[in-house]
Amino acid sequence: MNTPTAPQDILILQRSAPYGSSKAREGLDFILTSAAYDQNLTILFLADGVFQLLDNQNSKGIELKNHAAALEVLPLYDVENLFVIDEDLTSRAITKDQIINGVQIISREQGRALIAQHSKIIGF
Amino acid sequence: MTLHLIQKSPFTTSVFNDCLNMINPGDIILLMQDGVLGCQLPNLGNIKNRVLALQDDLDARGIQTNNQHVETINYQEFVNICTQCKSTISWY
Repeated sequence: MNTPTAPQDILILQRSAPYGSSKAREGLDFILTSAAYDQNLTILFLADGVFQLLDNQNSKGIELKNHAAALEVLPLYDVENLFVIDEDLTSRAITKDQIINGVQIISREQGRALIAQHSKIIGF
Repeated sequence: MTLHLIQKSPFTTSVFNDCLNMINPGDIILLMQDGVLGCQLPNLGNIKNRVLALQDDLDARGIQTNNQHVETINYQEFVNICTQCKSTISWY
């Protein structure tokens, strides 16, 4: 049985585009905080959340932190299970050479399996 | 089995479709808050999953669901269903 301090397997659904609302940033904050407590994290980018992964973001002009740059340092926090739904990239005309490194492209069916496997899921 | 909580109107946001894209067979959909406006969708019958709606949220908005594909539940039943599901996802 898990004690409150045992690492938990947590699936984080990043469903929101960056900048337009604070949701994507809140998801990132949740990820970094959970990683600091050594939780086992899996991140799934889907729907408009796939826009977080574009590698040529330059948010200087709107005076917000670069979201992609923050995502790229996640491996330093031992967060390495990053997945994105292929169909959601395709429907938004994003190709795999346009997204940041270290993200595995999976099918919607594989995404559904991730959801079925997890008992702790949080969406942003 | 995952309980999907739809909390925004399907007429103004994509959350209902996003949920349907990721739902597994046997999962349950619960329409709540503005999600209950989804009871007015004409094509709910195409959904293979069980669809529930919170009665209080329907009543508040004056939505009378005689949609045969939607079961209305109260908060007590909502709690019971939560305890039966492995996980919940809020689509908001």
